[in-house]
Amino acid sequence: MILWAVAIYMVVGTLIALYAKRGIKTQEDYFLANRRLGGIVSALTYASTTYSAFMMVGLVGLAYATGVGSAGFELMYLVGTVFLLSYYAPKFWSMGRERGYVSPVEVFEDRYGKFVSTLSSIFALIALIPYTSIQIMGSAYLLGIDYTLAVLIVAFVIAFWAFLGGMKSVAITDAVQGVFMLLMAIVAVIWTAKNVAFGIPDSAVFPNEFWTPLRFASLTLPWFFFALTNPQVSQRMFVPKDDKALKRMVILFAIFGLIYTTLVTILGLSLRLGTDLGRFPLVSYRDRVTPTLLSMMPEYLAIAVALSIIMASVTTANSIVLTLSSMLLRDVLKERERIVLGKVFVVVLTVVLIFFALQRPGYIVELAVLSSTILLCQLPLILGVFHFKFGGRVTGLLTLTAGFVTAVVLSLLRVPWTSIAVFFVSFAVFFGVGLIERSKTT
Amino acid sequence: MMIDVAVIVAMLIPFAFKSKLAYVYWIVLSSLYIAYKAWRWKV
Repeated sequence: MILWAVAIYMVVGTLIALYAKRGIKTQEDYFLANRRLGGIVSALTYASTTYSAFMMVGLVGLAYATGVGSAGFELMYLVGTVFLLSYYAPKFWSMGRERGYVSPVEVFEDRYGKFVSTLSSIFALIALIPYTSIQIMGSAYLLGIDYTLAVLIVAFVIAFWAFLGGMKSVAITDAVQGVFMLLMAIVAVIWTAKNVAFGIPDSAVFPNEFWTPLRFASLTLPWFFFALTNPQVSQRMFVPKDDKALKRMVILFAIFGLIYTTLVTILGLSLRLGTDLGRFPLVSYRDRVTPTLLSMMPEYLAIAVALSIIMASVTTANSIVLTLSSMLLRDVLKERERIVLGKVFVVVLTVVLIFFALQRPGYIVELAVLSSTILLCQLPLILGVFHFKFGGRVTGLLTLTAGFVTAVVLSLLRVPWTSIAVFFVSFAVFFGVGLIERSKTT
Repeated sequence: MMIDVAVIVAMLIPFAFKSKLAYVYWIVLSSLYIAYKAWRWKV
């Protein structure tokens, strides 16, 4: 039955993609929907890209296992994103139009040089490919069929719509799927309230042994700056058609995020209350909480919720593939005219994702968790574009390299404050080298 | 900017109280912040 649901889903998405592919002539058309998206579609594609399967699987489990602190962590991200977008989105948006930026790291090129934008793109590839492979793996497991076939089906869905219609196709399919994701989260909460429990258990207090100030800071820091450092979302600051659409994108995304976060966390907390009341089995591995819930639901409902989780993965993954393709094309190859190579990169990146997903290596999960921490090393350079006059090519290269090496080494050593160290090392190198570079040039 | 920073600092207040009501507090504070941005933010 789930294969029928996926088949209908693929047909509907493909029809939308075929509609969206008309009129694509330039890279701006393909990667940015010609900068002409309305506020509602922009908001829904921003939300669908941001909220992956982590929400309905990871965050439900986190709320179940660690209590209300999970909501604080996710809402801190949301408040940080609204704060950053309200200040930087208008700047990115107008710079993108004035200077014709398509890839998000092109903002580095004018300021720090071509090599910095290339290196930044390579680090983004390293950070995001394992993260995107995890999305495919999670969806493939949910399909419950032969794993290889499931990976190929999910990868096809991810690549095909992006390949056909680029950003316009991805944005419209994201919008439809975003609404479905929200509806299914509501359905899951209502079903749980009627059949298991609804409320916050007394044990779910904050702070607790898990939510210490250090862990809260370490988990929150990379997510707080996610809107600026993750290219698949920062590229979306270029797409609204005017300033009203830009504001609508930010506010509607924030409302979506608030509702979705509230639903997902109350679901996890209610299931924990259900366990305390003896109505839901005790689940010790927190990523198994949602699959356990699905196993208790009627089949049609479980399939609909599982499909919404697959959609959350697909909407995140195809946006990342499209953005990475634009970065490979424009920042690594420096090709600024032709589209065809961009489409080739969509296919090539998807093949790489399939390869990673089929290997199922243990380290891939750790790399995926590391993705936002690696990307944090770009933060000083982004803020430098808008706030600091010092710092050029050497500053850019050393800041990125120092932050990247810190992220990889400390995470290999399993240091719990890795993201905090990356944050401080990157800024220390940026300021230190930037001031030296300025004194040498003056 | 002052209000933005105040809200971000206020998100940390639940560290001072060991309570499950932090959940309601965060949702209300986030809602008020989004409403404030929708009302006051000029692009």
